[in-house]
Amino acid sequence: MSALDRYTGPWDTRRAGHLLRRTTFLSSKRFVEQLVQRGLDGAVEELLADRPVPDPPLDPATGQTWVNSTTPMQGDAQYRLAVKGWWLEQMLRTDRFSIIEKMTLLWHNYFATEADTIADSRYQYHHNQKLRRYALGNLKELTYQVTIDPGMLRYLNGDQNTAQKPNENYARELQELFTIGKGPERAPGDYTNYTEHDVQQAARVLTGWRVQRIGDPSTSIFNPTLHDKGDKQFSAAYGNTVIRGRSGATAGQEELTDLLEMIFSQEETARFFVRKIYRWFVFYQIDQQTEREVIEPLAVLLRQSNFEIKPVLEVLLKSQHFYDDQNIGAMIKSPLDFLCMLFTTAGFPLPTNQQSKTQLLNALVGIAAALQQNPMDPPSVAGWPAYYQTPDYYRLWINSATLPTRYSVTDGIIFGSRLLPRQYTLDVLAYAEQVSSNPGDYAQLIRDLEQELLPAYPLTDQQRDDLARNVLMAGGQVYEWAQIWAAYKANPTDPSARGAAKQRLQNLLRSMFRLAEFQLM
Amino acid sequence: MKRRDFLKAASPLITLPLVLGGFPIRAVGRSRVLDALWQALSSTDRVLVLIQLNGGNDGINTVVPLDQLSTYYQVRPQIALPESKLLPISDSTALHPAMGALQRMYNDGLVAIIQGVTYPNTNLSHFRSTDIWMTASDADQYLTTGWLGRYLDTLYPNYPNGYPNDNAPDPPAVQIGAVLALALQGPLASMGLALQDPQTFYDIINGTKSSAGGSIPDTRPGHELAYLRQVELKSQQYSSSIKTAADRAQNKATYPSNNTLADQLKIVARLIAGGLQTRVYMVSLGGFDTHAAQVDTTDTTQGIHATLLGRLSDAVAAFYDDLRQLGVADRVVAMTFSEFGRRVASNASNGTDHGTAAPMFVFGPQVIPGIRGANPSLSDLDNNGNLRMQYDFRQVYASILAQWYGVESSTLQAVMLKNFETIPIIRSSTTSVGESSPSHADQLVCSPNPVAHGQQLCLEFVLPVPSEVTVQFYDAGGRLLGTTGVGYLEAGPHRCSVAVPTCAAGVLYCHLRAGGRTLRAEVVVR
Repeated sequence: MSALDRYTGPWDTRRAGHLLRRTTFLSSKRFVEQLVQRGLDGAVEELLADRPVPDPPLDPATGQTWVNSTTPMQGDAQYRLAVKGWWLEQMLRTDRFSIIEKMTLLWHNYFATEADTIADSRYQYHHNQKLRRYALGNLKELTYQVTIDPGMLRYLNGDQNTAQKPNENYARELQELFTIGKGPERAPGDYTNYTEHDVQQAARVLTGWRVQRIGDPSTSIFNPTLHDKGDKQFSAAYGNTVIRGRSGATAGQEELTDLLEMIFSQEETARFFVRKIYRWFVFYQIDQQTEREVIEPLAVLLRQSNFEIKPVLEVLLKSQHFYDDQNIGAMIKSPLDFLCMLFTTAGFPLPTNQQSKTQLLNALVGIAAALQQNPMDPPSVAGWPAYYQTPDYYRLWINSATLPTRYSVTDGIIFGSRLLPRQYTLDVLAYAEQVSSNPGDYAQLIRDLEQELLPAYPLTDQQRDDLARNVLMAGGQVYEWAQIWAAYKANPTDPSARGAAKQRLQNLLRSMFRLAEFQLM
Repeated sequence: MKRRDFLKAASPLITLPLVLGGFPIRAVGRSRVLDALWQALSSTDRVLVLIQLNGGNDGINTVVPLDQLSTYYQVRPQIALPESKLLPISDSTALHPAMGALQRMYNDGLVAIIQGVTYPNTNLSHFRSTDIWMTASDADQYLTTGWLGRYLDTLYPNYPNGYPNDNAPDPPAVQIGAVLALALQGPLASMGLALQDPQTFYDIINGTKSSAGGSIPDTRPGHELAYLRQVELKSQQYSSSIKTAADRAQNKATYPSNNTLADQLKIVARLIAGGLQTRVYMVSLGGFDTHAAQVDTTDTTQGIHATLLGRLSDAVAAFYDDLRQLGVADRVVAMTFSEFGRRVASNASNGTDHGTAAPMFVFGPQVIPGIRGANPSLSDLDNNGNLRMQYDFRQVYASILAQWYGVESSTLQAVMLKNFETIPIIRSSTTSVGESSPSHADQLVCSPNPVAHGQQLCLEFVLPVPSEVTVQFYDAGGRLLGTTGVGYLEAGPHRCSVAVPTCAAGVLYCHLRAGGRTLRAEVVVR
């Protein structure tokens, strides 16, 4: 049996939960049970289904959207924050199961831009919608669209790249980070897959694109007078390809199409994409066996499907390899995983009132940033180091500064904090009843909470026992929990009965959220 | 650790400057015994603060070559700084107009500048080049440990296992911020502890004890879990010592506001003055990737780069003012680095593209002040229009390790993975700075220095025994450029002249071989 063969083992909460956590931002037994019912094929089909792009964000001041404004917004900083919040709202949607937002974030991390640098909320929004629109489509098309996207043109100075004074910034990153990747440096300026000379030639191909400061913010324009009309001779790395220089209104589109054809026809390009997809959905280490049995066959499939993404995802998400015990629970949650999963497991609804919603979403963006994953503002054009930096990868999310910050977020959910509006404090008594079939039985309560909160990595009996004795009952006898719970149920409004049960549950939940296992998915 | 034990036994109340028998060391002069003691003390109390300038700092507009202004204005038409606004620090070199505070530090003898630093075949990718600087690798070599991680591993072997302990109660390195740099990565774990603010760090970590874990299986998820538990444990173990140190000292200088680097250095000053026995601190300032709008179109002394250099300058000046008032400035050396410099020619977007060599700044009362190396040539460039290398950045690292931390040569080679020629950066405890003639058998003095092509170089040295003397010249890459036989000389002081070999402008290493010994000196060729 090979790694990419269809998974044939049991389809249960462990496997369905793994699929859900890796492809969405949701985590709760109530969602997992629905995916179990759909079966593996049904679940993957639903996750990969095309979805209409969401409506644009609204300006709280006018109730209208501003994203198509033909002029830049006054006080744009608040609108940039609003676009980020709007994206978090999409991630937090619980009305469907879809891979789309995780794919959009994958492409954002891949074709990374920074809102701070783009400095225009309209471009920031349209860039993000473009990633979403092409997220499950054709990779070549996605790369084409990203290349001439106003936000990207501005971010990597493509809009300042002219025949007279070429700017190499985008041409370099297109090859180094976005498509073929850098191979070993064989000689100065020769990166095996391309050379410094190819960077300069690609920059010439890409000359002439302009962002319209006043005008339609969703598209760029091509100015033939700024375009380098000469032939572009590439190196032996690209088989000495010559891209014929053109003039006229469509020169930019034609030469860009040729450039991407040239890059995508190199076998290394498909492998480079597949490795990034693998690190996003499965695990960061790619050993020789994985390279041979997973990466290479998927790269072949990607080329055979002419760079359509869905066939690759379908094979991967249904494979034996994806459901291997070594891969379940082996990923450290990114800050956005951590935050969205915490929110959905707590079952907090999004406010319908626009002002409260904005307040909440802004707060969540702030927390994500403090945890080092500010959406739409990654640290650089390479995206977040957790997906490229050896040897630590995902572990880079966790250090002695960010782990305590995660604790303050979960503590805040239980005890209330300045981080989030007051209504996002968990009613622990109601939560225990919602999650547990028998909250008065301490062992059952802890098992049920474990299934809900720590599904990716099971606790040991010793840990469960420790939670009961030293945390829930903190020095008291464990059998007393049944009495405390019964007293509360008999008289739920009595402050002392209620307080006794509430305080113990709060301590239990705080400790469970602080377990290292909670950081895994 | 052993040195620390010895000193604890010798005196429980050692403070700097070291007082022995009631006399400050400087008052009784420096004997070898005192030097050894001073070295032992300071090797555990000496602190290095690394200031990372993320994005690739434009060295040419930071340290401007006054001797090539016509070329400078020609190749950088949009972004060149007006001569009248430059801040001169020597006849031929000036600082960016935004660096007034650093100019004052320079005049006070607190700054060393090392010109033209990069590595052979500079990689123009931010990410790869940052890794190279962090790991101190060759351009084509991939390492998973950082240079400081490897050094700290020699002092804290097997870290994190068995730490903290009585001899090593504090974290080996502290990073102010939420992301640990690869430079601190040791063989088993990062030597660094990341924190943003000591008080908050303490409060959260000690909010409650979370449940004990069981045994961890040898699986992928198990390895990740073990990593998480280790971070949790180390955070708990170090949180109170960090808070204690931060509480013990209060900043005495006024730091600039709206300056993230100043905010970070402020914390570092408190931790050092509060007695945290951490050897390395890392701080950073981002935004140096100035492809566009590096300068304002109407005034090139304003713009993104000016703002950043102003922040760097003001923050470092306030930091050393604070350290001085707190009485710990002598224990602290700070150093800047950036993944690369920028292209010599400016681009059409009022900016600069990725380049190669750039200057590094080293700060502190213990540095040998002044400029190492020559101004980079703006006309003699490599094939991509970039500056040529004068110093390999690993020479700077090796010099800091040897001269500041007193790392011995065998250890130095193990940490740096190669032998790099050192550069005089830190004042030696055995010779005073500015001496003009050799007073020791192990000194070689070359003059004039800098020397011009074709000029004769005068060598002065002392032979303890009669020896056959040969002089050899090497470039920064270790290539032999020429050998001159001087002949058989008697014991005693000598002076002789040799011709400077043909070479590019930059730094040369003069090796004088006499009997079994080699004396070394560095010569700048213009």
